[in-house]
Amino acid sequence: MKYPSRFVSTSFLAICGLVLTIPFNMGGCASDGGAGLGSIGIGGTSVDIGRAASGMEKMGHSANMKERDENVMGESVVMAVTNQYPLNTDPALNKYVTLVGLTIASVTENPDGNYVFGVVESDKVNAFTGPNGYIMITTATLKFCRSEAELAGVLAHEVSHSVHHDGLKAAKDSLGKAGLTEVATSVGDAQQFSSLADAGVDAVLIKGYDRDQEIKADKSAIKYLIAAGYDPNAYKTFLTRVKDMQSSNQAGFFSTHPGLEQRISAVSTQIPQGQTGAVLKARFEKNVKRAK
Amino acid sequence: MKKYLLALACASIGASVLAEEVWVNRPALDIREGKGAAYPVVIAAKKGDKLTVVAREDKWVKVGFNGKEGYVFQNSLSDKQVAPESMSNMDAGAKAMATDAAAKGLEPESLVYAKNHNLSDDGLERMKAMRKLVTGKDFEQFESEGKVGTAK
Repeated sequence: MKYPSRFVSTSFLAICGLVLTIPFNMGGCASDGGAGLGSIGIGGTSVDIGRAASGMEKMGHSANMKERDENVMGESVVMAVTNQYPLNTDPALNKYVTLVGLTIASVTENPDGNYVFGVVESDKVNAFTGPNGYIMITTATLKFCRSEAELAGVLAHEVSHSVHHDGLKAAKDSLGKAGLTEVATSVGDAQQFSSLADAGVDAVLIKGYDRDQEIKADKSAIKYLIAAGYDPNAYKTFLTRVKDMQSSNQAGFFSTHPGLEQRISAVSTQIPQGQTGAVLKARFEKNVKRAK
Repeated sequence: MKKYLLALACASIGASVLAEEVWVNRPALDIREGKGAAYPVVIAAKKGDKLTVVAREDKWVKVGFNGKEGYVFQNSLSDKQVAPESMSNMDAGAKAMATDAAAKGLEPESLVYAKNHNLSDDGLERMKAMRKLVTGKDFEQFESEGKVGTAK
């Protein structure tokens, strides 16, 4: 394990925060109890945002956070996650997940964006979305899914967060609360910018997405599933099984997640009556069961 | 002969005048073999680069850049000149880091982040490498077999 012990505890909570938020929980569950904005701990280093802001003021140039910043934050999130949960090394499994994800991405408002999908080893039913299209899903989630349409639903939810720049918005929100609205973006300021990447990772992993972003992501997921020809009812089925698992506390992991019922209800009303689509259970089993 | 040369010159000037030019309006833009994120990158452009429009196909634009052609989504382009991002204030250390990052296909700041937190970038590199295993042909076959996506 490459993390100092401090990271393990902090980041475990951080990652749980993300997990609880994406895609199974109404967002914001970890925000109130998450790390304070004044001093953020992740990766074993405490980042004083106030000091970082001061550093920014000394530099001769700054710019609003934008796509390149998202890429830095996205790459940072991938490193934070994959150092905790190793990347699955089965090229065929990763390729299958990528193809499902790209099928969804192709019908979004940003079809030529940067989308990098990966499978990470974990026995927790989790998914992780970093800014700029970096999306990771755990092996446990793949086992929990029962069809390609369910997997497509989970990925559609995650892709929506990327398309709508939810990670960047969460980071900006955190920075805004810390009184920092602008950051340096030149490569020459790499060291300083890295400190701000902490804030981005922290915002995504600890604060998570808010309730509105989660509802919007569900809504978009249904839209994308229908546009891609998948059965959107599969996503509803998936969320319902998560809720059932929560009720019976089978995994002991979803016990404090409010709002899932509301999400399922919202998803139900959005699916047109009689809407069907591809489920592709056999193809899913062929590609995923093999790896189980 | 003079008339022929004159006509040729006029045609050449006309072509250059008529060629539609657009500018990249996002920090990084991958110009791809086909219309979608699934297709391999032909060449990468950056903010402010000038591209030539070869054809417009619905919301996709086939562009030419540095002697190569490929597709981009129209939202990534501007019909007005866009200023490139300045990188003039790089010090020697930053330049070295940028070179290292470029070789790995990563952002320089990401490497700083990894270094600051004693994180390995192996997972990120491998994830990006596996992404490249998916070809446009794989994608088309996948969609066609499942009757999903653009093949539904």
